Amino acid sequence: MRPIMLKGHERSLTQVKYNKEGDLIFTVAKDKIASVWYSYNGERVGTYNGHQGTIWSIDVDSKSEFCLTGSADFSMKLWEVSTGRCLFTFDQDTSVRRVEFDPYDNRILAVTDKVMGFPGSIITYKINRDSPTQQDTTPLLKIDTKEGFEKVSVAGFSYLGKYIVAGHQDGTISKYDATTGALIGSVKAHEGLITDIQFSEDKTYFIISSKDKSASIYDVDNLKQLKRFEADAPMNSAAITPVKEFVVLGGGQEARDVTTTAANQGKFEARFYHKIFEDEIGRVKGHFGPLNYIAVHPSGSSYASGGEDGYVRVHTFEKSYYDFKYDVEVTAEAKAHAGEQ
Amino acid sequence: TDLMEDSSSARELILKRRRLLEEWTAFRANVAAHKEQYGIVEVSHDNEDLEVIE
Repeated sequence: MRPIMLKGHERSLTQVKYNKEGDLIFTVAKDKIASVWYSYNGERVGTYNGHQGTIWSIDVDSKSEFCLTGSADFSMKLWEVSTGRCLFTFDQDTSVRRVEFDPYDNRILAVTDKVMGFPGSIITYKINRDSPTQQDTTPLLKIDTKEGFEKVSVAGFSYLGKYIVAGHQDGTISKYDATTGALIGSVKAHEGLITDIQFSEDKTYFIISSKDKSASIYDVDNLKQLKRFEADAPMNSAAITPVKEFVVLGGGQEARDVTTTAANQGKFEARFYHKIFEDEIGRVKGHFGPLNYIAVHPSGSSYASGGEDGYVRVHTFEKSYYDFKYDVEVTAEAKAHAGEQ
Repeated sequence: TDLMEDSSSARELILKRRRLLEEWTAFRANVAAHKEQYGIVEVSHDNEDLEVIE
């Protein structure tokens, strides 16, 4: 099936997200306007206008009622999904790099940049869902970057909204109690900037991508590395596929290095790896620049990639994708099936 | 298991994959056994409720 192109952004994409049902795709870019699209035909449903700078991050709640954006204009905005109305603006001291709702939609987190005397923080707020234009601007938590740690680049909530896991500029990951903000543990996971963190469906493990040309899976409870995926270019994003035991990585040579190489050497492909066996099993071409973000449909039927080239590509998986299995998987399934008889 | 006789490296690869699959299955079974602690809600992937838009 031909991919659907979402054309509308005028600058590089920074994040793309499906809503819980997967019928909508939310996108943000360096062009200051957030967009929402129908995932089945690529038609733009609407835009969210109001930010004055690059929008780094977007998230939508599980009811597709509110969405949240974080921007280089030193603010985070809460929007009404269906009308495009800005409900509230949370002003910050620095750029907002990452935003997310907790699994119950009643808390949000923001990762703020470390610059000019500001340490960079993970900040959480309670969300008033009943009167969304009235929000308490006093944070529930403000976790400043600790002594000895480099700045936080990405963060997200674990299962039950119990922990917050963060990725740092130097490749370290750290885990905090999401109620008290106490640091529980940290581990040096990569040799370069952590560019993305995405959790499994049940949020008990997560995948992180890094500029060190690799990605890895860690479990939430022990911060133990479960898997590692080696690539040949800096990776900007990594996603876990439901249904199939795969992961999808996106990245590519930095724009400043690309001018010296031919376009076909930029490595601008979505890369599929087997989640359990860690092998690369396929690539999908299409973008003319690095892939900045990868999101997988919640039912595992398609994926969307947001590119430095300003396009979002939505690819629907074909039958061969679902059929693909390693011999040992086929054998193990046959054995399990025989055991049930 | 004809493949296993082909060469020792092929055999090692199969054994490695078998081990990786067993490890992963054990990890997921352990999580599933503590579903309530993890707050895991069963997610259905059949498409019964899905509205198909032609």
